[in-house]
Amino acid sequence: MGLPFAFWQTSSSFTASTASFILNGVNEYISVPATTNLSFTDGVSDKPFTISIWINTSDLRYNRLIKKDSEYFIAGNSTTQWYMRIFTNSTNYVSVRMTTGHAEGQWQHIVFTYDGTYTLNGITSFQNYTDSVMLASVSAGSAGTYTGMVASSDIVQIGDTMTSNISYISIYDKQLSQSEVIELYSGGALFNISSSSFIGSCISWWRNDQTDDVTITNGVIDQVGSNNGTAQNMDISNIDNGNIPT
Amino acid sequence: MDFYIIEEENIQNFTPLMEQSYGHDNIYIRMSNDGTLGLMNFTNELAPIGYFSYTLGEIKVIMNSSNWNDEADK
Repeated sequence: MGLPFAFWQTSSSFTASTASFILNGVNEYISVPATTNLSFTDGVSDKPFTISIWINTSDLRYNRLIKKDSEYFIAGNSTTQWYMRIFTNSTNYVSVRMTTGHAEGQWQHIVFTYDGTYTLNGITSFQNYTDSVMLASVSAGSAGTYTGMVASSDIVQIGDTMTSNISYISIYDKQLSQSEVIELYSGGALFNISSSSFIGSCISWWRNDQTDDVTITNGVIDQVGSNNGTAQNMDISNIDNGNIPT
Repeated sequence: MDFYIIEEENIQNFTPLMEQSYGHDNIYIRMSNDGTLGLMNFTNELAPIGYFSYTLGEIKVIMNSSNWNDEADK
């Protein structure tokens, strides 16, 4: 005999973001402990990766947003162009820069992708996007001889010297394709990355919103992996209600 | 929360005040390049007496000076 009522399986609930984190660019950041899956090397060669960021800033010039100190960082240059640097060490590194400046004071979706083959293919190993549009990228600020990244015990630091609002930051262990970046951009709205077609390549996704707790250790939750972050020098005033990409 | 520049020798004494200001102990004290000064935050009520408070705009300028900025790409 069947059950008297129909039981419907509800889809897993997803709480929409209503806030972003606002960081002062002085001494507020999210600290994520070093783990092997946030270093992109097998000890000999680089491995591909992608970093995706939603950001609203008017403080891009000369400032850094995210870094793993001796391995990689993303920052702005003097003309509001984003660039990413990857390091062999402090004197041997390469940088790739988007040739279009960032639109300050509005939300933008920034994605840097790397296929892991810089030592073979040079700058063409990077493909970078703003609001899902692939932008021309050039070499910038390189020094010495880059021979590949070296895994370190440095934390991943989200937030550094850039005053900004940040939202969904995610890291992948592959070079996302243009179609995947378009899916991630989702027409300019925040997107439940757990439902993406490439979720299997997502290492970590930090929402940086009202669902996180900035007052406790490991309160900035990695929605995909286990790389929870801890907000430093932050309190509830860092949760900026109503300020999200739309 | 205002910003205060504190001598290195006083940072340990004032750390509980900074933790109390935030209500938790996940705090980071940014040090000057020569290690003699640290950047701390306190509420007005808990700020140590005799120290000048800086606004965010003021402290951003100071943090961009050579004794505080450790970024290579200026």
